[in-house]
Amino acid sequence: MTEPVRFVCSGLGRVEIVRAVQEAGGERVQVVVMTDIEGARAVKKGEADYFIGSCATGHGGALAAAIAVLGYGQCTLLGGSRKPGPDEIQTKVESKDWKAFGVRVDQISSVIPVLVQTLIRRGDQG
Amino acid sequence: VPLHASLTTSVLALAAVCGWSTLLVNRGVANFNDAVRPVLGERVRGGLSRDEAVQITREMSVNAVTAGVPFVLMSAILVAWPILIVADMIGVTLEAPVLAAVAGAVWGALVGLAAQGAYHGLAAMPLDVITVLQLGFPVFLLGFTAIPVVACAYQFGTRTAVVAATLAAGAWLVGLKVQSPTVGIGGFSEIGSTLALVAGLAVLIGRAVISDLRTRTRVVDLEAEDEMSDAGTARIKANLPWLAVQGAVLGFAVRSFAMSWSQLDVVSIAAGHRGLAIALVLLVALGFWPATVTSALSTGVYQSVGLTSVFAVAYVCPNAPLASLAGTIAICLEVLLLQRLNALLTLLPTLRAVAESIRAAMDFVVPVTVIAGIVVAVSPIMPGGLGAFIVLAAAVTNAQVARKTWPAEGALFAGIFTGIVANILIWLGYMAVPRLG
Repeated sequence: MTEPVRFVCSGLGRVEIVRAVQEAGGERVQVVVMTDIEGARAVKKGEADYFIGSCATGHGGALAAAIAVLGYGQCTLLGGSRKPGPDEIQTKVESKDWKAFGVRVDQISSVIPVLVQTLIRRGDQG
Repeated sequence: VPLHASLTTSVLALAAVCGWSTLLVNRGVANFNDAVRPVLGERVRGGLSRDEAVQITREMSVNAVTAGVPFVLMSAILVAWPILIVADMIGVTLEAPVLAAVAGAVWGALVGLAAQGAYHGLAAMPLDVITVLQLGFPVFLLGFTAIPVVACAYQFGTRTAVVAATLAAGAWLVGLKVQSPTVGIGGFSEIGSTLALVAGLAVLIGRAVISDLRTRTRVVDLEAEDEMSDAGTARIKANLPWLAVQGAVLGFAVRSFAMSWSQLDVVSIAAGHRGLAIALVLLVALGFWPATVTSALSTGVYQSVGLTSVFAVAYVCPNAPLASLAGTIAICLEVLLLQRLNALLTLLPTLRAVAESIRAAMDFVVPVTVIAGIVVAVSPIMPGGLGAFIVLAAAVTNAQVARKTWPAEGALFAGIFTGIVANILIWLGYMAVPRLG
């Protein structure tokens, strides 16, 4: 059986993110809540596959610790002042081997399902 | 008594804060946006080109520039975001330090001028829109007081929240023995609400500490912590003289009431409640400390407003020159204690998680309380509840559907718009100027 994709969630909307990840991924995902710094370090050590942080803008609070631990090259923002479409999110997620994603708290419901499905597909493709 | 600086003081103080902050960004000493801090750290180490740094800084910053703007319009006091987020962008973009500092100072002065112009313009209308909006202040402040209780619920569940709410209510009753509430819409006791906020915060912090002390079996990666701390602490300490000046200009601007930190303390200051403003600064500071400490120590770049103790000490001071001195001392002490604070946050991870719960609680509470306060404020200004209808329709549409701006900001813009519409109706002769209060 394929290994589940392991997510750590942190930040403003962490409870909502956990719910959204579980709904989108079902048995294909494992998701835990951690503080931002612990979550980023878990990804760095390989104890988790992806970090999802959230705050009011998707920037400062969402990714500050992840950027500090993982570096810019592995962190990206999904969404922004304008609500992104599914294709836009998918293209961004697939554009690089990102490890950490920043999400605006009011865009969790639209961003997370596409993010999770895209990352599960990436896992399946090896 | 509403507080804010005069036009001249405001423009000069904001020019000084924004100019010096921009210089600090330019030199890689400090910046405002926690997510941009690693850009400066990387720039200092030579691992990032200027073009890349500019692009990332803009991407990370542009959404936050307008945060708090309507709070500024209704108080004539700047909050940090519109000036310091832009200071980050200017400081990274312009290479020459003097040019960057001058551009930052010009931006600070222009923003101060615009804020004062808008405030006095709205106040000069036949129906004083500022006085109308400020009728909502007591409701805003009552709501802000509930943030620790909501954070308790988010972090520990409803049982802890009930304990926090009960203790907060008890503290409030004690406060009412000391200070009677104001008369009028949303009668308000500063001492009562300050004590309630502190009681809620004490439960939140106390519960977090107890929780961590009970689970001491947790393995702490001290080696990683030390590695991160040593890298940053030395550089930040080496820049202490630059930061001391920042403490001085910030202290002066804050005690002159030209600048506050966040949307919470600005309301309290504008309403004349300095004691509650200090408690609100402490509350919001707890929400941001972990992100700030982590990003500062891992990069060697400090936060433009430090850990925000400057705001608290400046509000306490009797005058601006003394606040300038106190601000210098406060920011220097912060830097000297930074590594210890990081060690504390590492040993008490639940306290770190509490920070995120405080920010989450702010996100839940502030929009609701601002919408409620603005409805209370505009209800008397138009006949038949028309004002409340306009605000509710616009604010809820923005918050739940259109999302053109943050929900609290949307409600305030709706309140300002409603005040202007009331003035147009007065000008057209449809209604007389209503009596307020």
